[in-house]
Amino acid sequence: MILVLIGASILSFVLVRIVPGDPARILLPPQAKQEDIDRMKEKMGLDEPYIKQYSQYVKSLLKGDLGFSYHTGRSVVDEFKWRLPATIELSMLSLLLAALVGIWLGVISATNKNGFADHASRLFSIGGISAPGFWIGLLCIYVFYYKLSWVPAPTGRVNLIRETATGGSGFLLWDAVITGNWDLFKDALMHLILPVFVLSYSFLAMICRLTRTGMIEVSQQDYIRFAKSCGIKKKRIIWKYSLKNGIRPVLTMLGMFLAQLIGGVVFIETVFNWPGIGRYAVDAINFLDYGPIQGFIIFMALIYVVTNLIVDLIYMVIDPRVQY
Amino acid sequence: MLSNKSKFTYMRKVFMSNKLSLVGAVIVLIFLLIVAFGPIFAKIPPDLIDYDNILSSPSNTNYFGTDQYGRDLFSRVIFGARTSLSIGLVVVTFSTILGLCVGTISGYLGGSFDNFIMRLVDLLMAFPSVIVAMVLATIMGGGIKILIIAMLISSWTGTARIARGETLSLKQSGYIKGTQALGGKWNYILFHHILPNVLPPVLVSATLSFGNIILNIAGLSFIGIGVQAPLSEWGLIISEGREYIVTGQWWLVFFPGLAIVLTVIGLNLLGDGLRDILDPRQRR
Repeated sequence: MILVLIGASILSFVLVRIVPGDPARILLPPQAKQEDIDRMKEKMGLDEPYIKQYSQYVKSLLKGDLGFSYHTGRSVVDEFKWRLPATIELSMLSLLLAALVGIWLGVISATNKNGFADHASRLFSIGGISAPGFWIGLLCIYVFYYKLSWVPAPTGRVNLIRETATGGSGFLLWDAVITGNWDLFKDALMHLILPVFVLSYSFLAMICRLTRTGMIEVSQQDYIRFAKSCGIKKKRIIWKYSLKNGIRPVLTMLGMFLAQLIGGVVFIETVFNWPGIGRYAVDAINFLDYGPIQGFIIFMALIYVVTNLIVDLIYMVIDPRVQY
Repeated sequence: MLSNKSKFTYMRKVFMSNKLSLVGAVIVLIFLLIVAFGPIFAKIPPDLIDYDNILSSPSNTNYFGTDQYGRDLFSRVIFGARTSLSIGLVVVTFSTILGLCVGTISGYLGGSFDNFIMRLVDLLMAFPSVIVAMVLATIMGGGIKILIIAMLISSWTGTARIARGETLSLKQSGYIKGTQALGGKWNYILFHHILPNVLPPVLVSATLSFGNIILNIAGLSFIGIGVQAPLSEWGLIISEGREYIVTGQWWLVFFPGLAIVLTVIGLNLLGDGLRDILDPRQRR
């Protein structure tokens, strides 16, 4: 796991150093003299040997400094602090929805194997796996905003005229409840619904598929047959005995899901003009901005490592046989 | 051991018995025909600009409507199939070959080389392939060539893992040990004994990842990296029509997306069917 982090730091360092464009030149106006460019390079530390640059980079990483965005002129950590709540609110709600509905559909599908519910939920999940999220997002905007006007225009987290600086944690729903600002709560919720639904769809489909195979496999095992022969109610067997083992494949893939989720966030944030980390990364890439790209890569690796750790811990809870 | 002929009959029987995979095969076949004979269906050139006919809705002359330059969307989607599918085919072919070679060699040799390769695979898998491709594509500048390289780097890892796993279990089997004891060279064992057995699961995963690759190509072109403007590609057409969705011109987004969805569904169903034939152990 440490290896993944070290690898990610080297990867992020090397990747942004082989860019053909010179960031010092991009930052200065085109008529800048060569000496100005050199001075800028010196200021940014780009004239040092690579090994020294790297060791300095790692040192500042350990201090929690993710670098500096040459484009916006703000530090990456500040930018992340401001944008992270938006992304977390969006992705965690999506993951929650995907997990709840996905597992439920998977169980229904497995218990009615080859029945109508099974075919319906499998068709539904094939759609989720095969359709690009940004396409579904755009179609939803057309149907629910343009045709039905059930939801507001895709202007990010709130309406354009509203002042977003409400203070607090940055999680708008939570802030609104704390301060009793129901108007803001409604506004934020209406803006959240579509992106959350669209983002969760493809993950819901994957979770549903995995749960289905897991549950079918478990239901053929001896201890389930034994429970049935004891006359325990079917509902209790399914939700209490089978599910614990049935969702193991889902848990194993959770780390990968989260990585995929961040990948999906990039598209959904672009489509819905969501001021989160994904769009920040896309903007940074378009401006050849070293700092945020590096920060984003490190951040991704961190998420991967942390979720795998959490998954291992959850394993211990649901399966006492696993020990470390 | 079945003879070759009865083996084939058996495979056909299994494949035909699964209606869904048959549907998948038909969809893929139709798209391949569109790629091959596209210009016959699409009479209007895909880049013909017609300012008198801007943003018109689907009609008898323009089956899918026209875009903001008056270009015929039907032709653009048909020609987009050529771009998307040919890039996808190149990527899936080379990434399968690369993953197959690296995976089998790494699994067969074992030791520190295997360790190194697997850590590299872990590292690449920590990032969604879209992000890796995004960073690479921007660093090396956009364009189709770069798109292909970026997609290659991010998509060989899955195949390598499968090939390595199969090789590891094959390595323990009696007949490989026997060949080794008889003094068979490693390259002979690899090519004559291991490769043919590793191939079926790898082919199945290639079909399934083909769909994913098509999705990723469309996604990257949608963000603005990848295939560039004058060409037509499904993701690019969607990105061009994106701003018109809030003013009600739905066809610019709907039809290219529908093409993506149908292709990917077709490939996924076909992949499931192939798995039933080639890899009976994983049959559902």
